[in-house]
Amino acid sequence: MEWFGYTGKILNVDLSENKLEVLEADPKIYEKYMGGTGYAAHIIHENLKKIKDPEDESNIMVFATGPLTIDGIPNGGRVTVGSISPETGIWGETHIGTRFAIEMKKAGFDAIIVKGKAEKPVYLFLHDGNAEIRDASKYWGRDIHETIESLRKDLNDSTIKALAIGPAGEKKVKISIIANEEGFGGRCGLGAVMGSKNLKAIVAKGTQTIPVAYPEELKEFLKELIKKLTKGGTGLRRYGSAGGVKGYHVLGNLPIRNFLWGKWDDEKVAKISGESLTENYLKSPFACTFCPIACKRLVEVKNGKYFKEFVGLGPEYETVGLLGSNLLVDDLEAIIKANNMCDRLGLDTISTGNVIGFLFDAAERGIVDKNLEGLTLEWGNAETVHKLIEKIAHREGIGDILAEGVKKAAEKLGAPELAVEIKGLEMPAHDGRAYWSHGLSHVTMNRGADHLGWPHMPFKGISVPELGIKAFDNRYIDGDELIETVIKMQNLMIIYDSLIICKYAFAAGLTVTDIIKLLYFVTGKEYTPEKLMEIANRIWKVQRKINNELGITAKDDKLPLRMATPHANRTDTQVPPIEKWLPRYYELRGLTEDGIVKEID
Amino acid sequence: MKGMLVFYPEKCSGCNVCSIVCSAYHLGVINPDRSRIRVLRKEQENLDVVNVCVQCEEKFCIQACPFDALSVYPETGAIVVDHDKCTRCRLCIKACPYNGIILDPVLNQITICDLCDGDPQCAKYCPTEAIQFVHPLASKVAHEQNKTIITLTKQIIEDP
Repeated sequence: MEWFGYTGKILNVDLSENKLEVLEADPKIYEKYMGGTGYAAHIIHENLKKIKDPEDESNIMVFATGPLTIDGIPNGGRVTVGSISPETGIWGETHIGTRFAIEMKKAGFDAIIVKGKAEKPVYLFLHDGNAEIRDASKYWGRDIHETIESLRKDLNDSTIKALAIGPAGEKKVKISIIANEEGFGGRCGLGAVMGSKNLKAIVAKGTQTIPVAYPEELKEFLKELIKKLTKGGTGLRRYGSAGGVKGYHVLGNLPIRNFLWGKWDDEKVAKISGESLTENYLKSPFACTFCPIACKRLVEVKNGKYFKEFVGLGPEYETVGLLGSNLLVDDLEAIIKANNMCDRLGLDTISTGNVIGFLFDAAERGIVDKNLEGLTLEWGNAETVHKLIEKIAHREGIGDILAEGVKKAAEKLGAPELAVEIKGLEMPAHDGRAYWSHGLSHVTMNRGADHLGWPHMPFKGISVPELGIKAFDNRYIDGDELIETVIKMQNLMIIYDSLIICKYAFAAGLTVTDIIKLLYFVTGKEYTPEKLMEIANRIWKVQRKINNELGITAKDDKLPLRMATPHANRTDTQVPPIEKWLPRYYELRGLTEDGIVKEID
Repeated sequence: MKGMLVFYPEKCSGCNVCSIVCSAYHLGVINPDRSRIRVLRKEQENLDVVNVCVQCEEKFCIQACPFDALSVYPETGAIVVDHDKCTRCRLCIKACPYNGIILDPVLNQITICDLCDGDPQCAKYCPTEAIQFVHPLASKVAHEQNKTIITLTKQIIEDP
């Protein structure tokens, strides 16, 4: 059959058997789940019974692109990785913005399913419809940048794209990432899944063209779209996502002192803001493939305290929040350093900042020794932060405990009340006390504490008329309107993650109508906003069903103590009354009152 | 309109928008591999360089062509390929220090930037203004600026 927008091929890899096979995709599955997170969730759900333990070889991982992973589609250079998270033990997913995604699809595969465990370190090499399992022993132990650089040298091709894990993933650190030099799959510790399979990297090189249904119309529409997103993305391009630091500080959304405080010193916040980064360190904005927004920062540091000479990617909002204000570190160069260390060693900056925040908090309260293993555990101590990052990545000393993630670490050290996590996943730099919508979304997103349902956007004044989402000027509205808005935004973002495109396109002005047009020109199929919502609902339910089968019920949909307590130093932010909202949320989602999925259509 | 393309590497985000609008404009397809402008990225050094014909003063390609297939189109100053004379020997590709010439893999034709008849799409759509189309009076400055591309390109191509 002829495929539009897809290659129609899935690569099935069994590392235990050293076997590769190419499967024909089922068009019905694409219709129901699209791609990206939807496709990955479907595959994991189908194979769930075979997964005994997320940390052993029985775990399965899915790398999935979507119908919009195509040359030229703005913000379309993304890939989803789905699996059972070794950190949380439930549905885990992460999304990587990178040139790898399009290269993988042009190499001939919509998705890769990886099972089993290789005897010794290996990497996957995909090129133009072929795939091979190759020896990766010589790359084991190397950081992510070194690994990919060596792969390029050894393959004598500077144009290959690759994803890899660092030492943290190899050591099965539960907050480890899958990444390359420019894109980072941070959340849920899926680097550890690759590590437990002895899979060091996936390399792709592709030249195939993906057929689209209406190339002429697509071409004309893309020109219009690129212009619109270029204009809409001006702010993000100028200051990067860290341009949000100052504003979010005013609102109480920025994490400070392990989420205890809602307010810090304005001057200190200004020092670590996106504006300061742009003024003092910016070399150029940096983009993923076909992205006219370029939110990433290429920064340069000369003769700094931590670097002699450094050019590389700078921190994003989440990183500044968790490795900066959350630890009371007000030195941007120290944050750049910490960010770079995490990127290379293979750690999620969000989770890493969160676990270190927890440790500082515990030390302050005398739960752990303030002087530990030659470190001084105190707020704002950047040297300690850098040393802890090394220790976590290599599982040394206290790092071995922190490498288990904040929930398990806090239980082990006897201070579970200080862990800021939901369902085992560390809280990112968005606060339910600043936006009530975030509170509800955090507890109902399926991978745990997850800000990427983007439920705060309508409360920042952005409406989505096609879905009936209104803009609000009050961050604390109560009742059905809030619940419905949260569900609709979560659904829209599930669509983004299934297509799969970057959410900043939404911020830059990509409308639901634009998405429907893109889908029509690419796949030739007509979608409506209702149809998209139906697909998103189904995907959310499949993810929830996975969680249900792994033991998640209504009792797990709750905020951590720290988030369910008002900010220590401000009175204008409020704790969201989640429990009151959940019954209605479950009803709208089609769950029982215990939070169990009734049926999936 | 007559003018010149100038490239500022420090402004380039590596987004590839230029390469898609180029192939869309000339070929009606979206395919960066067939574009007259390409983004080379050296990831470990975080270096992005756009490669396109920069209408250099020396015209290495014209000098190198044994078949007189290349010439300057006076209206725009762009290089034109006479496909009847061209034998695809690729000496022009080799001679160009800017890496500005490609052999289109589908048409099997030598392909060089033609400045889109005076309205270069790459400059028009570049989100970061890293590619600019400048007036001929500014061409001295443009030539100087574009020389840096030689060095950067060599770095990328010679050391994978």
